[in-house]
Amino acid sequence: MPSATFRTPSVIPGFRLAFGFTIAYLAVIVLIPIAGLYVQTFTLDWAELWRILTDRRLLAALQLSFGLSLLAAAFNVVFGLVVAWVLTRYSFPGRRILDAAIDLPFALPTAVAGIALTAIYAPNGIIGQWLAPYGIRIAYTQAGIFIALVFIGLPFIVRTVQPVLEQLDREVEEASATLGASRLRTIFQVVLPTLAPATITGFALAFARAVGEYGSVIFIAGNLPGKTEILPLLIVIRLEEYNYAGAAAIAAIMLTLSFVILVFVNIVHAWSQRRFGHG
Amino acid sequence: MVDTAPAVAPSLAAVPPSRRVAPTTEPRLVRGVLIAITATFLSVFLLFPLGVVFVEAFRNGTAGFLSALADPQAQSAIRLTLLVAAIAVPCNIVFGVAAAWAVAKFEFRGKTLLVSLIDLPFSVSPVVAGLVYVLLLGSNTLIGGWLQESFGLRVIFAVPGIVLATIFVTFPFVARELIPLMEQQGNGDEEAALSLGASGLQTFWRTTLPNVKWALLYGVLLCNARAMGEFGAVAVLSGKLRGQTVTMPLHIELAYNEYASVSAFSVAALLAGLALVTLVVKTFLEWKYADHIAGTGRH
Amino acid sequence: MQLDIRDIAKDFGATAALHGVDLTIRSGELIALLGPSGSGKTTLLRIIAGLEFPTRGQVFFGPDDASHRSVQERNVGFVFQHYALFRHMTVYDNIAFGLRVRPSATRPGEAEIRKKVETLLDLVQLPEYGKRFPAQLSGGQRQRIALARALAIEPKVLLLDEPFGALDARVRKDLRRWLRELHDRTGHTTVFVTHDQDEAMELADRVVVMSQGRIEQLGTPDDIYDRPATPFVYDFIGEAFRVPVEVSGGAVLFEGNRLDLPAQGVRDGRATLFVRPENVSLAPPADGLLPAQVEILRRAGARRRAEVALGAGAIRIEADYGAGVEVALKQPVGVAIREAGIFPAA
Repeated sequence: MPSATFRTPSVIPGFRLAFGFTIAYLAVIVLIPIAGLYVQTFTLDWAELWRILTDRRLLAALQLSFGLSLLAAAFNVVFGLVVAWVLTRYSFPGRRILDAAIDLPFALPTAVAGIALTAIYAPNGIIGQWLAPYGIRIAYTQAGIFIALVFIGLPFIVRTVQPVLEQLDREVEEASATLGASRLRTIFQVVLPTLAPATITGFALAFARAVGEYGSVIFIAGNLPGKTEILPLLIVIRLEEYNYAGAAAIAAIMLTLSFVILVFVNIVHAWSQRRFGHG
Repeated sequence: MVDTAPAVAPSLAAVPPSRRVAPTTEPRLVRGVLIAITATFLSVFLLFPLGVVFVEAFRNGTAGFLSALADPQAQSAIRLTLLVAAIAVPCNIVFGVAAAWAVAKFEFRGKTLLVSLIDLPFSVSPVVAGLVYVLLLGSNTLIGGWLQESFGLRVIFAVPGIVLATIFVTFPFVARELIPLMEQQGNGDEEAALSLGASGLQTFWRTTLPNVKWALLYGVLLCNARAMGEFGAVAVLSGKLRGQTVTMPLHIELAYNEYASVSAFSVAALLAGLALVTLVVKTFLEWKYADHIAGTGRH
Repeated sequence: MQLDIRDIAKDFGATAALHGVDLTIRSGELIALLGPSGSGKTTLLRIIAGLEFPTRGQVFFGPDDASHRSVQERNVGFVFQHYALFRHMTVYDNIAFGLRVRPSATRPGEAEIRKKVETLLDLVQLPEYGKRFPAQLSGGQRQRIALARALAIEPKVLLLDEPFGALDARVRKDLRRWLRELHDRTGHTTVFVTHDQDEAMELADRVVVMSQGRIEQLGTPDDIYDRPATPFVYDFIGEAFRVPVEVSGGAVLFEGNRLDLPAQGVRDGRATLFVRPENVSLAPPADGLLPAQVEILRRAGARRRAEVALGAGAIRIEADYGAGVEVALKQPVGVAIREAGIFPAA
């Protein structure tokens, strides 16, 4: 029950109802199921848990998922910054369409993206068939996973950087120029550092999404154990083997990672608020 | 007044000063190159895959597309997807409004934590989202077993599970569009309405709701798009029983794995069409009602 | 460094922001560009800095044509309205920025930079603030750091865009006096833009009054206030009330009454008189005074102010009057206009 010290008194009615419903719904849909996952994981004895976590196949999947997700997020930082810059700073025909297209990976169901990317990069696909004669394979290799992860990660960078770039005071760039700094110097020493907190946040979000991504990856991945098998797929496989404990342990790792990233993003935000007065 | 009359210097540069580049932009060539990179990158990575969906769907012409959709299994998948969205979206609307009301209109301790928890499903892998329900409500679990024995209600590998998983993954959409906007609007309108004698409910219907209607529509739009397109979470707990627990995204997977490419891409084209409509309406809302949508561009 | 602005014009698309402005700013002078928004004053300042390029005309820094120099090459100190401090840099790094970005041939060593930054922090009276971030400073402090940063590059001229616009009234007054003292000490040629006439009058050696992309008047604060050159300046600076009059054979007539004012070379015909309240005397009705009626009396700070309807009553002006003058509401009164500007009717 909300007490007088718990909340500041207000004339607006409906706090108990709204707050109570919010907490109850949140608990039933999100908190209890997630807590259940951890309970399930920790009912395992330590030896069993150790055996699951040091499984060669799991370690390979961990390495693959984390490695490629980092790589894709880093790639997206570079191109995402360019894209955000071009879309906010320059006007050219088609800008609005390209800007709207940024959200495509958010809006397009992952399974649709998955089969479309596969159709493009498969050895008999639209781009794949031109690469196949040179022995370059994208689909069913790690390169395919990378492309899928770039696809779903791009909007995170662009959409976190864009608002900051829009609000960036032109006067600051002009000030840099009056002090004698070249344009390149202004961009690297004045503009980019200002975008750093947003870029780090976008990077973390894109990375988190990439590690957990399933639909757009599994079609193009090839799913060879130890080679192109991603973490979420391993959960599905464990589940299909009715190895619930194994699935839960992997899920617990991923979930913990989500929490860590969430906390990290909040810390970056709070730090940048405090120091620079903006997010 | 000019005491040290400067000699009129010969024109130093061929470029007239008015055509010089402003100091806060880049030379024409650099701009051109950057625009070209952006256009190419976005075309190859984003627009091209979208185009491929439609090309593949119409590989056998319109007739092939239509017959793929007329297939009973496709029909059943479409119906199930609509049903799931029709349950999940309203649930999350009610939750979103309640949560936004509690968070934006009142000050209480632990508010930041609550907001973070509301956002949590966004950072959870869809596969994990599906799994947590399997672990909690599967027929061999405590609650799942009880539900099945007492009510004959099967949750996992059945429609209720699909609905639950969909609610989970679309959980924050409405709330996070409403919260920042309602916080920004403050309590002034509500306090005015209450002081004029309106009841709490009247205040909500007549002042709060009209103030946030575009943000609400925006959130519902995104929520619906995700609800209809969710794959990972649903794949884990649907069991993929044809004609019973197969949604549109799952139908795409099944058809694709059976090399029924046109069938897969036809349903995919339908979902891609939905995504396009969503984007168009979203862009329109952002353009027309930018001031009424606080959380623009954050997902 | 003397600044010569020659026939500077600037068009933004179809609209002209400046129509051929000529202006000479003497070395060491403190000049105010004063005008309402849209008068072109900020555009002129930005053209001097090289942040904007004119459609036509030249800017000379001393004997050199700077028209084709980029902003980086012009070496001007520019202080922005919202300070434009680099938020991710400390105060120290902000001030040092202009020195550190110099090409290696002219870049001072870190020790020299440190000495310079410390001197500047002393100059702006914020010696202990080097390690802070701009977000941790008050508005007035940010303004002073912005000035220190601009001075660090040893600019040829100092340009300030609405330097006190974002500050509250008290801080503004203190900072105004401080800036004047600083200017007298450092002797930079300084141009600042303002829409606040008090600021311009108090601070500047000479004031440039601008309107609609043209210079209306250039002069000392006394010139500007006491001898406005155009109707616009009369309206914009101080208070003035318009009285329609007739000029006939060198005499100025209001509703047939001859006023004791020179026609100042205005040709015969209709004209407009601009009358400041302090140049109007009130007395009991008498011959030689304009008949009028007192309509409103009010107290404005140290002054007593009467609003009087002249002659037939359609024209009202205001007058300041001293303690010895008897005026009463709705009573007739005699008005003498001691001084006024006269311009042909538009």
